[in-house]
This record gives sequence, C-alpha cells and structure tokens, in this order.
Amino acid sequence: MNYRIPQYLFLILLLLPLQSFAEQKFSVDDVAGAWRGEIYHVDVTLTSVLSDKAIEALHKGVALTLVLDVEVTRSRRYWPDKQVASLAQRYVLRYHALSDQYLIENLNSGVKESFSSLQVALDLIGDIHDLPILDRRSIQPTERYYARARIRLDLDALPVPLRMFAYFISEWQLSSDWYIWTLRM
Amino acid sequence: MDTQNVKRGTSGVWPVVLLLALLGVSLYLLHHATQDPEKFGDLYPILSLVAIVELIVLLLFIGSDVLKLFRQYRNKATGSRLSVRLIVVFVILTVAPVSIVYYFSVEFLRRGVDSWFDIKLEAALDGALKLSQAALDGRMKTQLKATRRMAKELIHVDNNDATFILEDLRRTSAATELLMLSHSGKIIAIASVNPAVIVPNYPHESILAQVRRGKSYIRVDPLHDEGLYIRIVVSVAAEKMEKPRILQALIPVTERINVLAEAVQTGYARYEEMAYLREPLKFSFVLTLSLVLVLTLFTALWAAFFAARRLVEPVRVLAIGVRQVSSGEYGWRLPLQRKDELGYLVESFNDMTEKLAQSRDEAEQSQQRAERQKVYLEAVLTRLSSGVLVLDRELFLRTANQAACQILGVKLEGFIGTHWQEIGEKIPLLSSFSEFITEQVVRGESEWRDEITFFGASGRQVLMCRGAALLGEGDRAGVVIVFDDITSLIQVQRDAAWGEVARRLAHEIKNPLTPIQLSAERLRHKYLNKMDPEDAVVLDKATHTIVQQVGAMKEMVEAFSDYARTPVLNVKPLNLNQLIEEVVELYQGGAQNIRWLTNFDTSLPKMKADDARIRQLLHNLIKNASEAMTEIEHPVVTFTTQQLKKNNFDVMDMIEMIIEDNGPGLPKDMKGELFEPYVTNKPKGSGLGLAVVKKIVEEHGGIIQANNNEKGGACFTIRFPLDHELSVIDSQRMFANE
Repeated sequence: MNYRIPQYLFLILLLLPLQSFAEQKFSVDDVAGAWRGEIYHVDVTLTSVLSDKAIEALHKGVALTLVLDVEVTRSRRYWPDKQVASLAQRYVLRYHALSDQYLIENLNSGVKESFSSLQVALDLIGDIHDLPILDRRSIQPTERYYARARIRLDLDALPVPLRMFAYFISEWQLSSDWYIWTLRM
Repeated sequence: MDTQNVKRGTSGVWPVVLLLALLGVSLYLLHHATQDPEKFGDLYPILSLVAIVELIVLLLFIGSDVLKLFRQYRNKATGSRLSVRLIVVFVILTVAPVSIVYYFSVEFLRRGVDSWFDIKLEAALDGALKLSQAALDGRMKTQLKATRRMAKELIHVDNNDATFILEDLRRTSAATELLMLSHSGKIIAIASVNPAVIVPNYPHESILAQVRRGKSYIRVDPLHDEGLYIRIVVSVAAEKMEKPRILQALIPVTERINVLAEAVQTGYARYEEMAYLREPLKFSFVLTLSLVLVLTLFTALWAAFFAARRLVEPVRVLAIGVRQVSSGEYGWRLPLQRKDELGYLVESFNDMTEKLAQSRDEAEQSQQRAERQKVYLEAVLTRLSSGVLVLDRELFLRTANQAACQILGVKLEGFIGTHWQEIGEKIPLLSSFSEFITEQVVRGESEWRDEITFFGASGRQVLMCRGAALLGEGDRAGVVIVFDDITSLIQVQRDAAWGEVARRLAHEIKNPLTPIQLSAERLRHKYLNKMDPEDAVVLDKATHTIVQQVGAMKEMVEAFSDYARTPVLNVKPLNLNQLIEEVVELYQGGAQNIRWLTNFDTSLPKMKADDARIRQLLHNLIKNASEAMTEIEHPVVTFTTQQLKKNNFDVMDMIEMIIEDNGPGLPKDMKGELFEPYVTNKPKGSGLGLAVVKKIVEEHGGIIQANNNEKGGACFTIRFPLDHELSVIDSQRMFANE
C-alpha cells in the first residue's frame, strides 16, 4: 500500500517529459590519458554517491551495476563525427549480508573485491588506473580525436520490476555528465 | 442522405482489428516479461510503452467514433439515439463485470504477492542469518586470540627470518595464509598453504589504517571462488623505536559451515531482494492487469460502436427509406445485406415500395386518363354552342364553358370557386340571371327547364335554361345548368307569327270592312229621305255607327299592320334629352293640364337611334300616361335621363330613361302581360301602345321594365345600350313577353 501514490505518480510521470531533477551525484572529476607504447591508457577519477533509494535497494540485496563509458571520436569537418572506439567498464556492486561486506566485481576483468564499507568500495571504482582504451593502429595521426567519459548506474541491469520505476524516478537516474578531452597524439 | 451513407457501416474494421491483435500480442509478451524476466525482461519497458501507445491510438479511434456519434446525436441523425442506447447498454454490460473481475484480480494479486512474504519466514531467515553470524563470531574470537598469540611470537622476529617463522606458525594454526606487512604496508613475509600463491590477498588500505590506529580487524570475508574466510589483521607490537608491523591471517571456514552459511546468505539475500521488489512487482502486475482492463474496456467500447453501427445500420437505412417514401420517392431500394430478421424487414420494405410505386404509377395513369377526359370534356364544352355552368351543392361555381361566357357576356373563368350569389352581386348584369338560377337550384328538383329574359351584356336576352342535379360524390353533388340564347329564335318565331296575323287581318278583316261601309252608306242614301222621320233617325244613327265603327276598325287594322311591319331603322346620333323636350312641348297646355317635369343628365351622350321610332315611343308612353291620369286632379309626369357607366364586369355604357306619373299605377294582375298586344284596361285603348313601345325598345337593343313607384304611380324604366352596333342587330328582333 505504500506504493499507491508513486504508482499513480508514475502514470502521471509517463505523460511528462523525462527529466532528471535530482542533484548530480555522479561525476567524472579528472581524466589523464597517455600513450604507453601503442596503447592509449587513461586514469579516471570519479565521484559516485549513490542515492538513498539505490543504497536501500543495495542493502536489500539488489545488485547495482555501475558503468564507466569511454568513447573516442574522430571529429570530422563536413560529416558527423565518427566513433572509433568505445569501452564500457562494468562494476557490479553487491551487499553481502552475512559478512556485512560490499562486494565489487569488475565484469571486464573478472576481479572481485570485498569491502567493509560502501564508501571504500565506491572509492575503489572512483580511482581507475591504466585503463587501455585505444590502439594506435585504429587511428590516423593526422586527424583530430577527442574522447569522453561518464559514470552511470545501468538501469537495464536492475531487476525488471524495479526497472519500470527506475526509468521514471529521478533518484534512480544516476549518471554523470560527459567529461570530454582531446587526445594528444 | 446519399447511397454512400447508406452502404457505410462495416468500414474501418480491419485497422482496429489489427491494432487489437497487436495490442493482444503486446500484452501477452508483457505478461510473459513479468512472469519470466530472464527471457523477456529487457522487452518489458518497451512493451509497456508500445501497449500504452497502442491504447492511445485505439482511444483516438474510439474518440473519433464518439465525436461522430455526438455530432449525429446533436443533429438528431437517424439511428443516433438507438446507437447511443445500445452503446450505453454494451458498455454497462462490459464495464460492470470487467471492473469486478479487475478489482478482485488486483486484490488477489496483492494478497497473493504479499502472502509470499511471511513475517515468520522473514524472521526465520533473519534468525538464520544472525545464527550464522553468531556461529562465525565464536570461531572468529577463537581465531583472533590465536592470531594475537602469533603476533606476540612475531614481536622479536626479525624481518629477514619472518618467512620461516611465519610458515611455522601457519602450519600450527588453522590459517591458510599468513601475511606480514611493515607499518607502511609493505609485504615482509608471506606463508600460504598454496605454495603457488605469489600475490597475497592484500588487505585494503582502510583495514591497514584501522590496524595502525591500534584496532584489530576481524571480519568474515567472502573471498571469491574460495568461500568464506575469516580475515584477521592485527598489529605486531614493535620493539625498541621501530614502528609496529602488521599481521594478516586468512582462516577458512569449515566446508560444512561454508556451505550452510552461503545457503543462508543466498536465501536471505534473495528473500530480501524479493521483499524489496514486492511493491514494484505488484505494480508491474497491476499495470499489466490495468492495461488488460483498459484494453478490454476499449475493445468493448469499440465493439459496442461497431455492433451498434451494425445493428442500427439497417434500421437507419430503413428510416431513411421510409423518409424517402414519405416524401414521395417510391423508386427507393434499400441494399439487401443480410439474411436475418432485419434483412427480411428490408426485403419487405422494398416489396412495399415497389407496390407503392406500382399503385402510384397506376394512379398517375388514371389521373392522366382523367386529365385527358377532362381536356376532352373541356374541348366539347368549349365547342358547345350552349352555355354550361356547373355549381356544387353549396352553389359555388365549378365550371363555366366558353359559350356560357359568350352568352352572358362575362368572363367567368375568374369566378371559378366563387359563390354563385356573390358573382350575382359583383356583376349587376348577372344579378337577375343569378337570382333565377339560385331559385331554380334551391327548389331542388332533379331536372328543370325554364326560360329567362334579362338585360345582359349584349342587351335583352332570352335564355332557355335546363338544369339537372349531378349525381356522384355523395352529398357534394351539384347541379349542371345548360342554357341557350334563344332570343333570335323567339324573334324569328314571333316574326313569323305576327306576319301571319297581319296577313289574316288584311285578308279576313280589312277586306270585308269596305263593303260593309259602302253598304251602310248606300242604305243611308237610299232610305234616309224616304223614311218616316222617326225611322230615319234610327237609320241615321245605325248607319252612322256602322260607318264610324268600320272606320275605327280600319284604323285598328292599320295600326296593327303598322305594328307587325318591321321597319328598317334609320339610325343617327340622337340627343335623347332634346327629343324628349320636343315631344313634351307638343303636349304642353293640353286639356288635362298635365305638369311635365324633366330631370335630365346634361352630360348625356348622344345615342345611336332612329329618331322617328323613339319619337313614337315617347308619344305612346305620354299617351298611355295621360290616359291613365284622366281622373287625377294634379297630374304630373316626370322624365329622368341618366348615363349608366360601364363597370368592372364588362357591362356596356347605357342610357336610362325613366318616365313616372302620379296616376293610379299599373294593375297588378296585368303586370305579367303588360307589353302583350291587345292588353289594355282602358275602354278606348287598342292594346297596342305599350306593345309598340316594347318593340321599339327591343329594336334598339334596349329593355323596358314597368313598376309602380312608391307613391303609387306607374314607372317605366327604359335602358338603351350606347353601343349601337348591337342595337342594329337587335333591331331585327321581335319582342318577347316578360
């Protein structure tokens, strides 16, 4: 019965333009990119503060997937810019009730770690080092490239019943703005 | 209402049916998405949106239908009320059960979902978790003590010897891995049950920081792929001025506990997640159910519209047909689309209109026949020389043929449908004819035959009228009057009769008179002187009387001969006033001392007449008057003339002359035969005076009437038509009795 009002609100929200009016809790603070040999690596510093709703869901056993999107785009003068590389680094955050631990699994590398506090766990995600994103062979040195990165909560990975709410409730719409930088050759 | 409108009714079905099918599929998938998130989960939001969009489209369809129906209802279109009623009934019949089912489904769903989450079960799971934690806690405390003991043993161990000591310690303890770190976190030594492990399970910086603050760290750590471990991190007390080092021990939980704890953890986590997702889940179900409800309602609504249209269509078409038929369009055929009762109705309607059309055609044909007969009859009537009038029972004029108009000299076409007496009042010329006809009709005889003389448009006319009651049409039957102008006929007859009389008189009466006279004179000559004086006186008297009477007889015969003779009129313009004055002058100062008064219309136009005949007319009338007033003390004769102007009803201009006296008046018993020859009440009258007067009047196309005026004297009214062409023709006429 507690959800009576949100249910109706949901129907009303359906008719409203989708817009997030929650305070921005995810942000990409800094990106440092560098060539190591033929591979372009980035170090990303993120801030991820989960909303109360997300924390509640996490504590109730819902796994949250945080995604770091990194895209490299070639800027073109007369054509729309072309994306040359993209990477989605996925972290699944779980709460282990028995041990009161927060588990983070990097889906890309398969590395799993446990933390005694949520903040510590999020700090781990927020400090990414040496993420390889681009091979020099896939770019042309004469062109201009720029890259962008963001951190977001993957709503599609939420359980289906929750997903319907998450799409339309701002507390679930956790995503940073794109952090854009130019690639130096 | 055109045919296109009539044929409409089943159009626009397929798009909506398609839409409904699509909607059904969407809802089916939606349902499965709710049931089996793994398979269709990703589709759920899209499906929801698609279903909602489809519903909106369906709503638009229905909205357009509603709007259309509303307009039809407002314009009071045929069948719209029935449609509304049907739709309302349909909707009520659908909404009520569906709403009930929906309500109970939602309730059932809520209770069903809620029933999964039992408080006791939750408490049990919670208890299981706590129990697991408690079980682990005991082991953790034991292990903490053991680890602290190991840390004490390591106090004096040099960094370089640490690896061996650590290995020894590990062997004697339950730990699978012992790791010794410097204060800064640098690895000093590692002892693992698995010699292949090179990279140790390094504690997180936050744990190290906690230990550095002098607080031991002990936690169950779900080391991935390896089950539960107890991670214990303690500080190794430092000797001298060195900073304390850190020891980490990883102690595995026994296999059995590990499995049980993992089961408890999984079950608990799953239950918690389910409990947390309970409301969203219920909402998803309710949403699906609501979508199904709305879809059902919309489908029912649309089906109601469709069914109403299908049901009302034949009725509407029938109504249109009836309207068409009532407006006289019998050729209207309704499209036969179905074979049910309504189809039978439509078929019957078509039969009916066909029969109506047939009977209308027959009616038209018979009407045409009647028209033709009427035209035929009119043609016959027009060519008939007799006048024909038809009056209905209320005496309204129904028919008047051309001959009737010609004979009466009045255009009667404009008076068709007018009351006969009204016509008489409007046309003074016809007043006497009208009265006469009215009298005859009112008498109510089925057939009658009579003659009338009246002063018509062409002067004096004698009409032979025959009337017959019309049969048929019940009591609306009227009377048909056929009349002929027999004025000329009578004249000819009278001409012949009087000619015969004149010839007889000449031969039979006039001829013996001379021998009688001569014989009487001879007797007188021969015997008067030879007789005794006494006898001589007798003879003288007798012969004198014979001669005198024979003379009188001769005069009478002469006068009669004069009367019978038809003179040729010498017509000239005549001033009637002047002529009257001239004639009256001759009688001024006579023995009777009559006063002659004149009341002339000075603007009287000249009439065309034979002045000798008119003079004789005046003489005869004056003589008649003076003879009538012999015993009157102060005899007065008044002459009045005036012109009667032509009025609206084609009556010609006339001159009227009235001669009145103050004598004893006309004897009532003689009034009918006043103008007949040899009719007189005077001892000395020949009886021809007034007959001659009448003859002269008729010669001039005029008419004479004789009345007694209010004071008792006789009054003769004579009217002459001013148009003398007719008078000339009339001059051939003889006179007729009144």
